[in-house]
Amino acid sequence: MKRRVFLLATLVLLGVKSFGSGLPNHRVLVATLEHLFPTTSRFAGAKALGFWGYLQFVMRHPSFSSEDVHFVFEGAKRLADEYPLFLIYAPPQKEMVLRRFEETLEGQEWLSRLLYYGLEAMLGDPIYGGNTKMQGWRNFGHTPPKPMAKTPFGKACG
Amino acid sequence: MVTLPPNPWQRLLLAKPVVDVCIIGSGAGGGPIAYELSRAGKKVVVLEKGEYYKRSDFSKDEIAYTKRSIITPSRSKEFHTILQEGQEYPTTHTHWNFWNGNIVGGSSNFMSGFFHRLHPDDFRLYSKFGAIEGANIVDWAIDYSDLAPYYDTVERIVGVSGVYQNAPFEPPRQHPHFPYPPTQEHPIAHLIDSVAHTIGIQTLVTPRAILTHDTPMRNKCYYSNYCGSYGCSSGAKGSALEALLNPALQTGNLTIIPNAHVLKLHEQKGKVAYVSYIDKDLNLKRTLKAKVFVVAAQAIESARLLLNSTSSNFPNGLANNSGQVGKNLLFSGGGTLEGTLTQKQCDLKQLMVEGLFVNRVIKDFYAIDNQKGGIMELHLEHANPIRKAYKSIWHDNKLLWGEALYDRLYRRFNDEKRLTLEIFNDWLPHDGCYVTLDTKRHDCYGMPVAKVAIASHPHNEKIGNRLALEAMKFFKALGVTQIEGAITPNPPSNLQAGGCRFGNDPKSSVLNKECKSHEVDNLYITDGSFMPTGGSLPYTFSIYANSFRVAQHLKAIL
Ligand SMILES: Cc1cc2nc3c(=O)[nH]c(=O)nc-3n(C[C@H](O)[C@H](O)[C@H](O)COP(=O)(O)OP(=O)(O)OC[C@H]3O[C@@H](n4cnc5c(N)ncnc54)[C@H](O)[C@@H]3O)c2cc1C
Repeated sequence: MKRRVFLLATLVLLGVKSFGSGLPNHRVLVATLEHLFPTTSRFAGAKALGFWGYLQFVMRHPSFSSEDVHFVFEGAKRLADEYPLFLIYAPPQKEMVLRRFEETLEGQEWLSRLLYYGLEAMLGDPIYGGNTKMQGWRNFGHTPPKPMAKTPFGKACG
Repeated sequence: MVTLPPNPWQRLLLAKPVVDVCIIGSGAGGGPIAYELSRAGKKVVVLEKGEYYKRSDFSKDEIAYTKRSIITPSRSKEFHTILQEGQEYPTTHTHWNFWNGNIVGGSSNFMSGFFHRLHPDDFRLYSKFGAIEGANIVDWAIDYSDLAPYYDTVERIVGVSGVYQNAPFEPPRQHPHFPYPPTQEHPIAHLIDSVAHTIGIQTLVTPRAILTHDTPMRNKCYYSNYCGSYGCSSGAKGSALEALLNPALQTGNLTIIPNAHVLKLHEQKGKVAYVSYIDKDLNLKRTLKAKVFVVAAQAIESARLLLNSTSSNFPNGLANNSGQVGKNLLFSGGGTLEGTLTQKQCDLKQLMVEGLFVNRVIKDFYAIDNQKGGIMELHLEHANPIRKAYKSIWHDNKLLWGEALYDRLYRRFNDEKRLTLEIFNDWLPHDGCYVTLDTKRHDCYGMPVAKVAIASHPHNEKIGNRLALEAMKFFKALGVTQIEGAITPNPPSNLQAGGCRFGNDPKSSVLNKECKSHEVDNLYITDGSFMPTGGSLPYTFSIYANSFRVAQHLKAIL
């Protein structure tokens, strides 16, 4: 319950007011990210790397446009509206649905945006809440940069 | 308000304004003036709209420095209006961003530091290559020999590493040796050299504004693999901040006022009497008087500042009774080709070496078919894992995700590298590329924003495409695959010059050959605005050198 209140409060804070069913959209969003970035035997994915925590953190910052926040949640709402059972589908069904969703221009744009933010969460500095324990970098043998961030968003807004 | 470093004179400064020189903008154009004049004992104040970052404030945070506008203003508050093919729109919701780095040291903090001298012919483009229809080409008011000693100064003080090689289009040098040896080379550089040789092309080592040995205040390059777009964490990069402002602060004669956004220069009796600026820390409007004012806010913003500085003597903007302010804006012509290298072209272990620079440039086509050509700069991608990964999400017009994406990324990170060949050719000055004011749109300080007309002269693309043919021959010989890229009429927003060209005729130029306004006695402009033509190279070496030249003049008159 506490968690529900927190999430809804976050969305209002972000100026993202009308998501219809609000919370289910967030769960659709998270489920989509987890499908796009599954955790496998070789690779840490969305769940292991804290993608949702990452998104919540960066979306709150002024450098993340409110249009983008809106777009991300609107896409989840559309997916939820078109496929109300998405959340309970098994991975092969989710795959089919998302591939179908990809066939529309908006669907493709939304998925590519999620892939983009997913890659930010996976390969960005862990200070933003993603890339937990640098496992995202380790996925692909990427050497951590020197120096890493001491504050998020540089000095100016950090 | 932060003044750096605090000392008694600086604390008194605002109470008792006895400033010799006020510089607006702390980047490549402003740095040399601050350095030279403060060392000559003059009281200098730099007004800079952005924050002061210490070296230790910088990091290789890809999200902060390349994905969000943390070192540039938010475009919802400060933006430009673009005028392109008859359409006019603000940059607020576009990919255009004409801000390039708005902290102390300006965009010079974030440059890659490819530092080429202009060729003597670049100073006499009109005399050498003749007129081109629709282009406003003129010779410079000075020639190579006037600037050459100051290129030497920059090499020494800012620090340029390189090696002299005899080649047809290498400008003459008084001292054959660079003060710093070249940066360490990536193994792939040797492959590039030998392939180029087989097809009769000469590759040269690119001079870089990067230190290759320590100096008292700066450390040598540590090859972080994150260079262009990032501030330097060793001080090796020759930013205005590291090379000029920090040493100048030690004189006690320089005050840098960060977070000071200049609104207007106020003219009285034919001179600038004072500037007004917003102290962003306290949200206060302040003024500052000085004997001489030097504008170096990067070409577009410098023109805008003058145009916004109207008075009864200058109803069309300061120093603009000629109507020339903002005209003949320059960017850089050309474009980028990229291709993939794998173990098919070279030993995989060598290919995957990280951090070292390729540092090769091809200048054989500086003149081509009796016309002015350009250069081709070769470099390997920096680490930037997010960028690298995002460019890999498409396959046959479909998105990759899940295991397929992971496999693709694994190969991308471990088995291949992208080689970039960047073509630079002249962006010809013409009537379709200029800065004016958008009197209908205002920034968060209530000032009209700059309207930037960005049309490219058709000749730019023609030459760019001619060079791209040669580039493709080279790429084919090298065997790179998945070649992408194009010559584009779109301007690279980080390479700005012109707009307040210098010249001997006050009717057709804004500045005289010392970069002083023809019309306002104590007003100078020392960023790239003075350039009537820009050459086929990135500009910063020439901006620095020219600013050192103007500093010499200012030392003599102050
Ligand atoms: C990613 C990147 C890579 C680059 N690579 C290269 C390269 O390899 N080689 C090369 O030659 N060049 C390169 N450049 C370009 C180089 O940085 C610029 O040419 C150079 O810094 C321009 O100097 P400037 O003085 O005109 O502007 P800047 O160095 O940008 O300085 C202008 C300063 O004025 C300040 N300012 C603006 N308006 C106001 C105002 N109203 N009040 C107060 N202050 C104001 C700005 O905040 C800024 O700090 C690169 C640039 C970028 C961004």
